[in-house]
Amino acid sequence: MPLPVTFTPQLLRQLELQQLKARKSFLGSRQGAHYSPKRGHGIEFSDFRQYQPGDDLRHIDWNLVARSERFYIKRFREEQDLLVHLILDNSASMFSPSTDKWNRVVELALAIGYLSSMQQDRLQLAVPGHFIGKKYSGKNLVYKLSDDLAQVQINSAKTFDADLKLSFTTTNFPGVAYYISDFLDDPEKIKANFQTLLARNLDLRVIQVLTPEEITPRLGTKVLAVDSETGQEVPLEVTASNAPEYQQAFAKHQKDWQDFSYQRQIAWYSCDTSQDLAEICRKILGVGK
Amino acid sequence: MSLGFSAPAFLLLAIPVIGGLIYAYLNRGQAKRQIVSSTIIFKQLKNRPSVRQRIQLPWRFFYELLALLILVLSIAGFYWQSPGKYWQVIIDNSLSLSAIADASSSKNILALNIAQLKNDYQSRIRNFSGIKVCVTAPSFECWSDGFQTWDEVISKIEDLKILPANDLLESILSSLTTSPDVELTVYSDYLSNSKQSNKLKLSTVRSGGLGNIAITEILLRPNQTVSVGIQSFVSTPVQKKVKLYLLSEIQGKLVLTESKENSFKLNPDQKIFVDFKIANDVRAVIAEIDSENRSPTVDAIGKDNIAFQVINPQVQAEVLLVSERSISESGLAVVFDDKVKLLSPTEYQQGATSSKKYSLIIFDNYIPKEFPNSNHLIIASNSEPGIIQTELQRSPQITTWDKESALLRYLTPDNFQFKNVWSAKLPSWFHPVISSNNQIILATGFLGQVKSVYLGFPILPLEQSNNQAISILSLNTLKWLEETSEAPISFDRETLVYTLVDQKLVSEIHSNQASSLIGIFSSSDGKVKSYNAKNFYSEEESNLKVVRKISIPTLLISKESQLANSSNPNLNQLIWFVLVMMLAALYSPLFIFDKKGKER
Repeated sequence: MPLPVTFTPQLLRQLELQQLKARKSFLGSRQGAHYSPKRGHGIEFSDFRQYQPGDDLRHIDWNLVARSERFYIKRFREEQDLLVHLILDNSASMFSPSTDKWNRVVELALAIGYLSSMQQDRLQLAVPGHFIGKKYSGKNLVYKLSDDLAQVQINSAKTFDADLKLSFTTTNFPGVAYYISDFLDDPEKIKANFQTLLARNLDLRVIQVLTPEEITPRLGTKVLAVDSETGQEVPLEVTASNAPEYQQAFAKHQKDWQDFSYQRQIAWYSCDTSQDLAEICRKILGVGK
Repeated sequence: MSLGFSAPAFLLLAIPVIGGLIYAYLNRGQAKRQIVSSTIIFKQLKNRPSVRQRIQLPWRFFYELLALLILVLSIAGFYWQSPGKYWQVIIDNSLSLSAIADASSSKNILALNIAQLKNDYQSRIRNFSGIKVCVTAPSFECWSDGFQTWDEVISKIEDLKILPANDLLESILSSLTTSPDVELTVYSDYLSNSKQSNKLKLSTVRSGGLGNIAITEILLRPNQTVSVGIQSFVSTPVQKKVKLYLLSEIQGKLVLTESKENSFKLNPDQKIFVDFKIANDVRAVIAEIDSENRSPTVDAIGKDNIAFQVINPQVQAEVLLVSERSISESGLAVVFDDKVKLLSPTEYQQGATSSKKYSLIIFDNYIPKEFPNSNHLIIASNSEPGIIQTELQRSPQITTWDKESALLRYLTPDNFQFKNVWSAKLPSWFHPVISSNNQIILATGFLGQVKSVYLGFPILPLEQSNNQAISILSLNTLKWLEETSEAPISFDRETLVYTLVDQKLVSEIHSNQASSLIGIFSSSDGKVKSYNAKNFYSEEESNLKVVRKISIPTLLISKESQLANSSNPNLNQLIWFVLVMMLAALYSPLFIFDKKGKER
């Protein structure tokens, strides 16, 4: 399946100039572009270690031997690939009132996948109800990912939390985790999910996708707002008089999440569907080379 | 006080109306459902409707329910009857009621109807607070607008006379306006066409057909011959005699000088003329069918067995008809015999009559360029404009009615229902007789000694006129124009000299009721004394072979709905009331929502 139309050549060029970097080193499984905690072959010098029998003689620093008359071997930081975890929320709220939010989630996932592909990283996808820890790698990563995401539908089974945990039990290597959702759910439940992810020693990055109406609801007549996931009904009339109150509640909600993320060293990003994808990618996904 | 509905079936409307209101109200209380991604922020709002408004039954619901119920009640013709309910009785005293219905008692139908009315009164009057009596002849008239006790009206009913007039019962009933407090009973010789109602009943003692013989007309023919037209409404051949009383003027008084008698034989439904030769000095004749052996099957009515005619020797009149139609088509031969001469409008316009003087000129659908020097009648109907400008009026309403005019004898405005008339702008010497919307449609005038009549609607042909009122008006008009007196004959200067009262010829009656009698009248204008005959013949009244019927149910439905609507809380008032309620609701603080979305 081709990439979405929003993936213009300009966007792809921009993504190619960006680099997805982890905030800490993760052990990779093969040669890659990220510094690994593993010492061994590499370009960047790490430290010296006293020679021990069995060490490769080629690693002995003879200059140091000459100065100190002791045998030391030179150690280098190994550069390995990175495992990028993609955790996508496909609950009903992401498809309501339209599929705009889900479309933006897919676009962001593909952008991350494209970056991973460029850096020869591996990608592991968790979409509750559809994919539990499915791995992608290689140059066709983004296309396979696109095909799979096209099949994703609303997860109405409410097994999100269980599926999330299950997807990480099979993970051998931690890495960068992108958790994309609207985070308009029970905060305690989401926080529990965050704890699960942090416990896996992941570099957790949270991307909140909202619609403009969720940020600034339209003024209108009385409605009976029905929660797309719980079915809970809330009589509501957003008027000029109570619109500021909504704004305050929304801002408080966002601030709570930002504070929580800051305390847990979780990178928190928020965007809405009306924003330009390239701008979001520039802001959220890595830095320029 | 009792409640009622003139159309109770419409009460069933209340079920869907109330059901619809409740459904609409429940839906109205329910806000529109809108699925949102999450309500987590919404739930934190304090300033929002706290509860769903699905079940709310405040003032507004009851207010609208009340308004709709009032509408349904008004459509169902809701009314209440007050205790002042009274009984209205219409007694038909037209000519046909003089028929003998019972051979043994020799009582006429009116007498039997009155007896029936007395019986009905004994059994029904306890339901009513009063009685109101109306009669149909000579014109429809109620004796009093208020209530009358039985003792007050019984004496008047006993004295009620049968008058030579048509009952016009159908038009009376159709034009009658009354109220729900009234129950109406008509004592006549009509039968109801179908089922009757408590509101309007027809009562008659007549159950079958009767036989009758009547004099229809007396014609003056050439060579001093008088023809008496006699019509049979009997199913079997009849042999009778007809007498002709000859009256001459002696010393200024009309005196009976001679009587003649002829036998005649009438086959069923046949009309014959019995001829009599008369002397030159005869000024009037009275024809009378022999009244012996009268019976319900042969000659039920005696009052139509007599007719009067005057003979004016001075009138050697010749009548000119200016018309496109022939004399026979005009029907004028029936009135003027062979004295009518015909000219087409073109011939008349070419001055063929310039030097000759006629006793009467009738312009039929033609308006002359100038007024002639003879008495004339201008009948305008879609005519080319001449000396008079005419204008078409559709469905006119009579606004002026000169009841003193000789042209309107025996007539009332109710007798006329015009579709189209042609009003005219006439010279000032015309006197309006009938006007419609202040436009003259019938007028008389004197131009020197010449009489002029303008008629804004067609009256010819005379014989084929279905409207009896038009026929009477035509004959009144022709008679007035034929009279050669220099001044108009005022009605109250006439003296009845011969008439029939209680089956006897009497003379020199000076009575206030003269106008409702038939006979020979004399009128005097100083030196000149002239005579005038009044007759009444109506086939509707004289033909008793079949009992006439009226479609009461049709009248009743419309009448009852009028009754309900015109009384108490009528439809319009209720609808206005509901509209005012609705408007009040729009601005009422009761129904304005407060900031929390609740109805205050």
